[in-house]
Amino acid sequence: MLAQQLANGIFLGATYALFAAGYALIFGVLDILNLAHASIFMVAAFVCLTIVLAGFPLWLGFLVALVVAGLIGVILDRVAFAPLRRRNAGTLVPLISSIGFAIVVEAVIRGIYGVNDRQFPEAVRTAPPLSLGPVTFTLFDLAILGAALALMLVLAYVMRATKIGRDIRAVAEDRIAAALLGVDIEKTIALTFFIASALGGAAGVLVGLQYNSVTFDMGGRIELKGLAVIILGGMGSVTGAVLGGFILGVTETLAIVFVGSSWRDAVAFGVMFLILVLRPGGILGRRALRTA
Amino acid sequence: MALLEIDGLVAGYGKIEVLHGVSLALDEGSLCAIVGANGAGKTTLLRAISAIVPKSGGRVRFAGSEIGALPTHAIVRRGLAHVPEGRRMLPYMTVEENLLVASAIRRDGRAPIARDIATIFERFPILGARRSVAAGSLSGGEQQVLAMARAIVARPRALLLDEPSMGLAPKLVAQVFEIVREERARGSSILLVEQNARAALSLADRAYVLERGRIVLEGTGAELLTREDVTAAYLGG
Repeated sequence: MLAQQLANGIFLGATYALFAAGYALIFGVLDILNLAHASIFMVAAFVCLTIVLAGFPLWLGFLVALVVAGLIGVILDRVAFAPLRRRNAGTLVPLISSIGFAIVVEAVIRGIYGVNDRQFPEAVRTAPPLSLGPVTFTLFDLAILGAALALMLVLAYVMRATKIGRDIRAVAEDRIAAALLGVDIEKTIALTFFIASALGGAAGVLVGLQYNSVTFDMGGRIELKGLAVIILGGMGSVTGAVLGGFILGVTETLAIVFVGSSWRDAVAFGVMFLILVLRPGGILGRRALRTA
Repeated sequence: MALLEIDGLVAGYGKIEVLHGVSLALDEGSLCAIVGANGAGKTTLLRAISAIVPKSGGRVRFAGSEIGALPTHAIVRRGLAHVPEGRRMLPYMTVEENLLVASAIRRDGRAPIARDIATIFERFPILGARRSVAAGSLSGGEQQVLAMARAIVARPRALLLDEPSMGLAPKLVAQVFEIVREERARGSSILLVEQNARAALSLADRAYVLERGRIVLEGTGAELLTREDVTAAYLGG
């Protein structure tokens, strides 16, 4: 029973972690909260759903959704953040403009798809059950976990070992120093938005598949959790956000078993509160993005 | 023709104008020193050349083309490396990563870059020994050496050095000026801003005295060293 719930927590936590990784990446580079991250999460789920309903395979829908999410992220930066950056607007104003962008995106999706819950075709989700000792799950659960983990590993590799990753970290650490070393700041920020939004979009598709529910307001459910997770992980630390995502996932599922499902959020946020009382800077503190 | 030519440069921060029309020239393969008191605008001059501080007037020509309207990274990619005041490490990245970021503007491929980084580690053993350490954990002197190594590894056509000796112990100051001397001997073109005027002038082919945002005096380094008004004002008598 406990092992089963831990496994469920990890399946759930992987998508939280993926969502939060993108959130944390943008915060780490720009010191701003991108409150449109959850709306891109939602759009990607609709993109994938639409492609699958049109008869194309799920993997294709997933890849297209990632790219579309990344491109919306780049547009988001151009529209909501770049003009303010040029005017040195600080960190509060971009918060508002990103909320504005999110409202527009949600209105467009609601206009196209309506307010009703949408589902993936049943055939997409049927998969043989597997068991590992006392734990049972389906191949489908495993594929979602695998996709989330694979994307996080790719992110870790890109950040550590590629020129793009080094440039992103350099811009995060000291924008002027990076520019003086020849790094194109605006291009690097655009790439950061692409990567972060693609990860957020991937999380949207996977959550839509997990719950088999895609709605125009699905971003709202994860937005607050994502925010809590990046604070828990240490603002701006991608590794911390990933850890925080798994902690939240496991805490939620354990809370359902031991306390009751109506207490799920209360227990999860209570545990995060306790961790932050003990470590106010988050699990890893700010610097981990920079070393990641 | 000069490699770097600045003509009537006006620049400042917001509404505060710091440079009121500065003109100077850096010849290929020479070392040009700019001396002056604190607040004279020396750092602002270099920052305006590199487009960190916006220019509101004047022209900057480098290697035969106008660079006044380019953004910072494009100027650096043209071959004008800037070692900033305060060294500006990428503090959580390793020594080696700092060099990799700086060398990424080169177009000659990975192998020559790797060779140059290896050469840097031989030439500056303190960096070689600490290549995997976060740059922010280096001492001030080591950070200055890394800041200069970052510029050198980019293989620039000219170097802008902003107060490389600032805040260093005398022994380290000598080491930093030794690097400047070596680079000059290799034929680099260097624009050096220094408060340590005696050391800077003794190295300089040409030198300018900057006072409250204006060039008030220019000559060869040796000429300025013998002028009583310069020595009285900037060399402590």
